[in-house]
Amino acid sequence: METRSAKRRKLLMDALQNETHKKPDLTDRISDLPEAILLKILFLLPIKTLAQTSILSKRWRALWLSFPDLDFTTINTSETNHPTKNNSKQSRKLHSRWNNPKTMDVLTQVLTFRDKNSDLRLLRFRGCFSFSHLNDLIRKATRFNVQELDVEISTEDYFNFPRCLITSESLRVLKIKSHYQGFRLPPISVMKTGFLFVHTLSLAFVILHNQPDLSDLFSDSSFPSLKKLSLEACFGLKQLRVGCRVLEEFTLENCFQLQVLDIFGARIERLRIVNCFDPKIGESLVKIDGSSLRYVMWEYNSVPNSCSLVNLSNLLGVCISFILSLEESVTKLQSLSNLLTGFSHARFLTFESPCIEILSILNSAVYIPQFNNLKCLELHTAFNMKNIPAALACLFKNSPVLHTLTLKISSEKYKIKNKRSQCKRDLWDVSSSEEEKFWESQIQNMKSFLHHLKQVEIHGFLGCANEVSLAKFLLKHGKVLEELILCTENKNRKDFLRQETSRLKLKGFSLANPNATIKFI
Amino acid sequence: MSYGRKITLKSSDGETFEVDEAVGSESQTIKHMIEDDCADNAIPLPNVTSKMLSKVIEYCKKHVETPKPDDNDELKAWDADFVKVDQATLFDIILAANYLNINSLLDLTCQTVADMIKDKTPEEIRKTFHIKNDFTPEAEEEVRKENQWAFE
Repeated sequence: METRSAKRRKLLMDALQNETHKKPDLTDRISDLPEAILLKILFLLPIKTLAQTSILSKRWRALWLSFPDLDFTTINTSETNHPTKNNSKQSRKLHSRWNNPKTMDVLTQVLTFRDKNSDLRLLRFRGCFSFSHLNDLIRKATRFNVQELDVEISTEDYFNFPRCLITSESLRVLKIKSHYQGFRLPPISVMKTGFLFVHTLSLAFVILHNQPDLSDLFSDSSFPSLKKLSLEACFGLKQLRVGCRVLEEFTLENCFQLQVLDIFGARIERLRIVNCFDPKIGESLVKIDGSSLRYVMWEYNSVPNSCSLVNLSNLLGVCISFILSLEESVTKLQSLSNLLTGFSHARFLTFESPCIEILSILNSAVYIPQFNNLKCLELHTAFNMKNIPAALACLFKNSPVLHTLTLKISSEKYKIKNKRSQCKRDLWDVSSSEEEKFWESQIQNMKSFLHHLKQVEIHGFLGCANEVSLAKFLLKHGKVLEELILCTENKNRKDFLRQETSRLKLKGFSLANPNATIKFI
Repeated sequence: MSYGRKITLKSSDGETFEVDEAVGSESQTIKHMIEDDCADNAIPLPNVTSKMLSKVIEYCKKHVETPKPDDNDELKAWDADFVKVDQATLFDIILAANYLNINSLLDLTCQTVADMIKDKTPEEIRKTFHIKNDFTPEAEEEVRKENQWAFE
């Protein structure tokens, strides 16, 4: 039997033991992590926090002084640091915001104190600099064997492209975007000898008035490692040929004075050309020879006078919107036909506004090619002009194996007024309107199309005459049509349409495929 | 629901765990061992304790069972709960995820630690992680001056 004091002693001992077991682990686990993991954690921190960790201990200071990625754009994470394109008022505002002498010093300070033996993997910054300061920073970066340089800058005067970047053996990714003023490229002969290891190049706001012809720059012998090329806002650029041997992706944007574009890279898979070509020049030309080309975006470009598109049989997806004034010469119309014929191998095709409208006005003046591989067609249109059904019928007729059709109807303000007056009629009225008679007249031409079409989606469906006659036609004659999906944002409309459709069969409306379903989203 | 055959994993302290092949394959390390036909007997994992292995298996199981697409709010909430552990366990999971080469788990735990560092002052960071300050006061002041811009 235990005495009271023995019991008390035992309780005390137990309590003490519990204390030591509950004692928290005070070891510094984080500094003991393998360097690769610690770096992984540090990559997730904004640069200011990173710099602050330098005073934690000697090891942490060493880590900061040799940290491979210096992304100074994370410095003010509260500010929105996304300058917009083409907005000079905003870029001037940013100009003044960046013109903070402190920001300029930070970069120099960090690069000065940095461990001289540690290479830089990434250097990214934004700011307003004097030409000499910027040059100095870039030279310092190349001395650290920088692999990726990504800068967005504004300088007070034109600046000349720093030559040390051309000869750098470490540089793999170069992105220079300039706001206001812009930069000049060095002579082509100098550029062609360099950039030996660069695989991604992106230049924006380049001043090319003095060298408008870049036909020799991106040839198949220069830029031997280049895989991704992006050129934006190259002021004064008139002639460009691109054929780098291993190039896979090429983007050209906002080159309004462009006259000649020749693309012949054997490995190019993705092509994006937006807002290019000078509509006033008579001799404009585009040539594309792309045996590896899979995806093309051709958006808001004026139709050049001459289009030669060859070897595009591997084409997968094309998204197109062109600009054409309504009184165009025969040459331009022929050129548009050639453009469409060049893209005719595509399996997926999207026609954005205002293509359908333009095609409907031009009617038979433009030859529409056969799209023999086309599986999915997407059309964007306001669907409120008289000849649009004819233009659509032509496209359908020329798409013999189409299996999905998506129609996106945009509603512009004036159109909504008209719509309200037209849309009160009985939806699935068996009697034929004029539009429906037109569609019926096209049946013979569209035999193959009607035998392949499986799915139709109509967005922005409000139940107006044009849309309904098309929907009725497809339901009545689409032999293998499985699903018709009608999407509308207008909730009241949706309920009315759903109600009307449930009474479809009662009204004697016959479907070509009795298993077809109509869905409302 | 079964996901193919079962494999056996053995922790450093000798405990064995039987899991579906798909669950084990979330770990690239284990996946390669399966592909190299080393999985007929138990796969030995000498760098992972049984406590850690069961945690990791719990994570992998949940991720295999959740249907894709992975940007699922429910899964995100589960992940957030999964990392609500004491520091020692968190670092143990990081090391286990690294050894077993489970990228999503490593990303999740590293982000958790980064979030612990993010909004703290250096003094607070030292306290949280028990980092010993081995600078003399003069040396520390010098380092502070070097990176003055960061402390403003």
